[in-house]
Amino acid sequence: MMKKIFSLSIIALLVLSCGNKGKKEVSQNIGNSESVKVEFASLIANPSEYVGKNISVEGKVVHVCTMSGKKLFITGENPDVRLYVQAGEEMPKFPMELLGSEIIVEGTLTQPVATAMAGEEGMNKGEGMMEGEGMVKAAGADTCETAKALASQPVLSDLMMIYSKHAVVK
Amino acid sequence: MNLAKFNRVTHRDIGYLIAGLTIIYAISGIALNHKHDWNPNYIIDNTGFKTDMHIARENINKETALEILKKIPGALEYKTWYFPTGNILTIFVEGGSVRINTNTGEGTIERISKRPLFYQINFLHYNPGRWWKYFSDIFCISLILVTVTGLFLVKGKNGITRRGAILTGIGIILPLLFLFIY
Repeated sequence: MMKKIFSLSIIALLVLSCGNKGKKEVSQNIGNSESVKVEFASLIANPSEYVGKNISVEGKVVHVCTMSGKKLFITGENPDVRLYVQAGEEMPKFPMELLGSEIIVEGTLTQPVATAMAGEEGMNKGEGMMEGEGMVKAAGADTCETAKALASQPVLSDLMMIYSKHAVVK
Repeated sequence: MNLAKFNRVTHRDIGYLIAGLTIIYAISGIALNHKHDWNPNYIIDNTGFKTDMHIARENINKETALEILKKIPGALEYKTWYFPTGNILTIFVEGGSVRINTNTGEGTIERISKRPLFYQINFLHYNPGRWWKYFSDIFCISLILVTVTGLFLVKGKNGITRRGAILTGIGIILPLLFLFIY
């Protein structure tokens, strides 16, 4: 009996290790509000219009944080403007398989307090764009690749999306 | 059942129940503790190469990206490309990416794969969802129960009133010392 239980535990652990290939769709119901589909170009044009709203936007994943796995960037047609997407506390990590994929990501666009303060200090560089320094503070100023990337390239406004759902398009 | 027996049975049975999870948390705890020294979730392999291809921004599209991949060592399966302002072209491939400095022709093939076992246990350690959070709370309460009941398992000179008191005291003083030092 004991041998059977022990063997089953080992087998379960091995199966768990071999599986988990990354789900095509990950979601979590946060409230019941329907998301508004937004084109990436519209988001660039009027980012402040969508702050605090539940939106879904399609873009190409150009970076996934390999350390925490809870941060990624997507871009639209302009490769220089990226949207920072962060998984909330209760969301699973983004799988690395998303790198280079087109995804639709749904979540709430927010303006972190740290960057709002940075804006008040005159750190914003222009309409809808800023250098990433303030966003690094918002990202927790850790030493992961995402934070470094945020510091070196402009990001879509001083915003980030706390996502609740994503689906791979291709 | 008297109190001592109840204490022993509680300690024993909860101990059995949480043994597996304790080991999972302990191993992933060590792995995550050193996350600045290594990547506990992924094995990232970087291989350098140099290409003599002339890569011009205006010519980059799916076809040219595929051409570039053909001339790079290794069977790389194309996904898409990314070329922001600057001179670094990234071609995303299955399981990684290729970065090329279009000025020098120097590049890096980055292959990313999940670190077996560690990826899974770290996934659990990071609280992957709401239900796991509640499950972890129960686990933590169980850990407290096992610890507290463990204090009163043994009686006599090795019990909590003598040897046990000294060792437990050391265990409390050590973190307090760290708090004081830092």
